[in-house]
Amino acid sequence: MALSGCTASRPQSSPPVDDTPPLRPLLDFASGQVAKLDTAAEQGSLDPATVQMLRDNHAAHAAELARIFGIHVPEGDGALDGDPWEELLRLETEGARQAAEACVAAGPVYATILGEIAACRSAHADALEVLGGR
Amino acid sequence: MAGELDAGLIAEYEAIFTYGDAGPHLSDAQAETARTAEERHRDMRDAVLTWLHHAEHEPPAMQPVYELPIDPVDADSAAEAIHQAEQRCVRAWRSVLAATDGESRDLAVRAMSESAVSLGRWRRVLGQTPSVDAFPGRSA
Repeated sequence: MALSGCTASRPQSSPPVDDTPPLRPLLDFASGQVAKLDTAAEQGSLDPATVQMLRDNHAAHAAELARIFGIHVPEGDGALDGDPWEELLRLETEGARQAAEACVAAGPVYATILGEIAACRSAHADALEVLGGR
Repeated sequence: MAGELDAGLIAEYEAIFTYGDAGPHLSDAQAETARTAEERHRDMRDAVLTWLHHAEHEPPAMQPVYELPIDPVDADSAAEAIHQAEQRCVRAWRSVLAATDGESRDLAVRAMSESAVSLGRWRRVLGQTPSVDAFPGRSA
């Protein structure tokens, strides 16, 4: 049997780069915030309209990020330690930093959505500051 | 890469002009919000110009006058003119994110976040709800 030394070869294509892993912490944060804001709504100590707005926005982030991964939105931890206003403000501030850092580090594909989430979380923190714990 | 910040810088110029034009018509309560926001825009403009200088990129020049979609003639129209200027800033900075990287993206996301904060404040001044969009700058 003659072995042909010449075969019709196709160029080896590089495996696609998966640049989604940095998004996962943002998805987990968003679903966590949804759960915590549900807790805050049940407790009733904060302005209901502001709580609802923050919850709706985080739910939208979680839904879009989950769509990118092709998964359902994970369930978040709704535990709120201490004063709910202080805790939510601290989390939104940290969350804004998380998203901004992820945006700077991301490739072009996800830079825009990460910037949107960073901007939204920054504005959330400001909206909570205005509430001043009311 | 430096040229990708131009759209955001021009939006900052327009915002600064708008605050100057609208400011005299605002109520005393609104004036403090405006002063803080205008200062932020001036600081961001300066930060971008400094970065562009180091990148050896000639920035677009600020124009002496910008045509505003709303003519601020009283407190309500002044607040609305400012609200729209902040919206344009958020959109402009959002539009440059994908084309930037490293330090230029850091500037862009900071500028976008600051304008989203100001936008939220002006929406609350105008009684608009919700005051914060889930995806600031994204077309509806």
